[in-house]
Amino acid sequence: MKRPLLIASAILISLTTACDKSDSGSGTTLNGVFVLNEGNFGQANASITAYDPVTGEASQNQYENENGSPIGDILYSATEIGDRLYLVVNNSSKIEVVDKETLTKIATIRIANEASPRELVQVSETKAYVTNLYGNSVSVIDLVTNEEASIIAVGSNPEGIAVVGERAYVANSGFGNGNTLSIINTATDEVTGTITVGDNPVSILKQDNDQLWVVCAGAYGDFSDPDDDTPGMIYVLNGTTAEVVTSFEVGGHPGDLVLNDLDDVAYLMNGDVMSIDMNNFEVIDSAFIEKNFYALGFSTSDEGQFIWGADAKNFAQSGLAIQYDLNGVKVDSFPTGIIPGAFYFSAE
Amino acid sequence: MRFITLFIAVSLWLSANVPAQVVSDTLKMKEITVTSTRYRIPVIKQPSHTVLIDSVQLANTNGQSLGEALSRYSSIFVRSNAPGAVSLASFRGFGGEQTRVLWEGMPINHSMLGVLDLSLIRSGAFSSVEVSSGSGSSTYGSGISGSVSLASSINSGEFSAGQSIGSNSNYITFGNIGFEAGNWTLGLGGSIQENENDYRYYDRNTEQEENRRHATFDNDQFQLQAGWNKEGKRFQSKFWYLKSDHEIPENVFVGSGTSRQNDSASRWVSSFHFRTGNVQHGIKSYLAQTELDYFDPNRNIESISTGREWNNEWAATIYISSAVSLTNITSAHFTEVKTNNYTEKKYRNLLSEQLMAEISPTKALGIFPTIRVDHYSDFGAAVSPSLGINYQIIEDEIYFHSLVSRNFRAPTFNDLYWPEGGNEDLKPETAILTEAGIGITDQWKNVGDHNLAFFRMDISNGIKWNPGGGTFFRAQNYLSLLSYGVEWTAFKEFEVGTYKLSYSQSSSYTRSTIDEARFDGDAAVGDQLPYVPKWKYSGSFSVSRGDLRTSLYGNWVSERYSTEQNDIRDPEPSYFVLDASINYSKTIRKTQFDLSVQVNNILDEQYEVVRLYPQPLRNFLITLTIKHKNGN
Repeated sequence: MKRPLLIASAILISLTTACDKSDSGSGTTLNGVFVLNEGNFGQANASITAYDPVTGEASQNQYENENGSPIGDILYSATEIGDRLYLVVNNSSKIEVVDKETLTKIATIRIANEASPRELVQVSETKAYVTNLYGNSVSVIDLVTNEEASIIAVGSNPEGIAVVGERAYVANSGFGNGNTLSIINTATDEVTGTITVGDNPVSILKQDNDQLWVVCAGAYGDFSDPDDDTPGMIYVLNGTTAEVVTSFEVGGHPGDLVLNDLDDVAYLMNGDVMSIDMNNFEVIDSAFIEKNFYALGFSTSDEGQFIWGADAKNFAQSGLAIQYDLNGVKVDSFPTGIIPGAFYFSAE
Repeated sequence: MRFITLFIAVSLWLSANVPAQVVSDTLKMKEITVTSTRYRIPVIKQPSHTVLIDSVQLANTNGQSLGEALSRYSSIFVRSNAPGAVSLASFRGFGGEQTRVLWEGMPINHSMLGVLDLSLIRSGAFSSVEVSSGSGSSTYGSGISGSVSLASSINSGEFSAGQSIGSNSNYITFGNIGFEAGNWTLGLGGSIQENENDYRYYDRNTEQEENRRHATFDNDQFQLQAGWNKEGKRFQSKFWYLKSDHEIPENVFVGSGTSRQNDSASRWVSSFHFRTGNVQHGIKSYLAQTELDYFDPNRNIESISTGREWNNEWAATIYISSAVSLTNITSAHFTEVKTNNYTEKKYRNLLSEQLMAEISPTKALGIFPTIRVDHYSDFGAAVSPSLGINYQIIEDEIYFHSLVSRNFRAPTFNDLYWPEGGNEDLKPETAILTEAGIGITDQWKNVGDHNLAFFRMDISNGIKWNPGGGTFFRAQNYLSLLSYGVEWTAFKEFEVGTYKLSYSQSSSYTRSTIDEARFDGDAAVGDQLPYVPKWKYSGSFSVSRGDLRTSLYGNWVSERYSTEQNDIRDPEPSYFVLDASINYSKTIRKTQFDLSVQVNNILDEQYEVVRLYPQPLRNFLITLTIKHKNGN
């Protein structure tokens, strides 16, 4: 037990900068990978796995080891703001604010009315938005007081969110029945309009050029009838003008989308992992990696660019994270907690 | 820990070192006839391990649910999410779906869910409960890991009424009245319970004592019974209505929750027994309607369902000789479920034919072969053979019993028809059960009544909801499970001077594992199944003198795992809960006054049966009961 703890401590101490796509690149070293494990719904067994890419060793339950208590029920996403990580714990309707190096708990932000928070995005130095799946709203978070300051009503069952300038775009999934994005003016915290996209918009990714990629997972219709499903789509928006640039069909019911460092190839979980030409807006290879994952991540550092897939296995025991190079060749793998659902990369 | 050890040690010592006069009415195992195995013979002569919880024991858990009574008096582990929340029986390592619950010999598991929530049933509503660990599908159809059989009987010529008041605003009003007129008996009984359920507990999330929120529990039930008995012909009709409205508490990391559930059930069973020549007939008909409305306004979920059942049975027993009897049972069971979850009404027609024999080639030996064939309209036929024996090693003192059976469990309606993942191609789960044990009566060296049973069960085609590579979980036959262990029950009653003492204990060791890998890298093979404690011990000790009786009840459960892969999280801690009660009874003319003070969890143990669902700290219940008997 002591050895993994020491490894984990080494990883944690070395974490300084989040390695999301926008601020990564050459001159950085990938120090650590955090896997956010959702855990089983209603069982509060969410956890964080810490992986050291140098030693290839993983250690489990990092949050619990550091803070002495579980994170909560369904750890859904993590967002880095300054030297803090904001861990969104969906079914506990809370956000745990932790030190991004040590995972030491700093504060807990409670989301009222068990609104089921999903994704958090920084809006300004003192403000963040978090989408609320059941609340049909976006909570405005005061980053100074660590409190929910107000609520903005949006469409049904919002999930993904992205900010460009003074616009925040919110994906109203409607649990498969939605097809809009709400646009919020981040200065006034008011909804100023909606954009119609494909069925079931679930996530929004921002390119460096402020172009937005919206994953529309497609509607399920009658769950017992697969023939009435609508196909998955990608909508590309100009984030500055809030206009649709293009859209194209990817089929199936896609999940996570990650964009590479050059903004020329995207990787989409859709049965297998498909690769997409971001300039021509078309699928390059529908089975770039022939494996079904529960989550996808992408890391960039001097060591190279890597695609990370999370295999949740049977959703009841430890999953497996697998690292691939850009040729789709497996590089490494390590065990995770229950239902690995997101990656967080740290590089300096 | 020292207290647990002391409690168990004292109980065990009593089983072997009682220098006391034996009370005349102590031959419990030998004399009491049970019916849950369909062999109407005393417990000690049964081929499988059977425990009877009688009306006195049930009265001791009057203010609590059936789950508490089963935890206290049987080897069943009750997986309780906390008072007022769902509570399921776990037999020999398996779950509520595999455990059959019977009322007056009719299965009452929920047709959609396959389980019966024990928290909805007040233990005091029944006259007896039989727990038959080895009872498989050859007795009452679908079921592979034992049965819990509830019996209702209201005493004629008696009126009783009572009121319980307990901690956390728990109020229960109950009463029974019985009449006898000529060949007829009539009975009416019922209870109304209102429980705020805002009990104290230790919260692992906030690391301080809190009061449970969103856990109110209202439960009303009544039973109406009529009976007629003349010249060997016997007619009985019993109606049971149950209504329960309750909030559903979440785990402490989720918050107070917003979901509620309203249940109601109307059940009516009628039977007629008569004899023609050397054939004894029993005709039984059962009608039931169950309503379940689960809704969560926050998540915009509402699930409404209505289940209707009509179960008819004709049993004929022919006594070929004093050593051989044959029983043929033919039954037809129709089930209909209407719910907003399914696209249309779903039906199940079940026709069953069962042949069972009781053969006694010698006075000491009983042989019990049975075969049952069930034909389901939705997935075909299942055959359930069993062979049991019981042999008196020392007459009336030591018995050997053994049973081998092949059992099945039918997929539930949800397994088959749930729109997101139901699988109409499912096959029934099947299980091979072998068990053997020893029964000892108090007549052997005054050691008390003991029953020790070793069991092994191999389940194949186990049904589990599995992601299976798709977007939604899907019900699949893909589990292969192995469970083995040992159960030991004991009971002893004796006198020391003017004191009457009794103890009972029930303990078990259970090892239950996934037997075969389900996919590449399955890390759960060989690990203990979630929420199956390896060890469980329940014991009670009572002392009475005159009108006063005091009792102690201890329940120790070993560590449990909350996940199928055991090493992924620390196990849930073991717990020991000690309850106590004092009863004072006074009879004035024909009216008896009973006052009972019950203190539960007197050691203030902070414990959870299910992870992060805290149980109450110390709490009490005071009950006053007045009984009036007509006649002498």
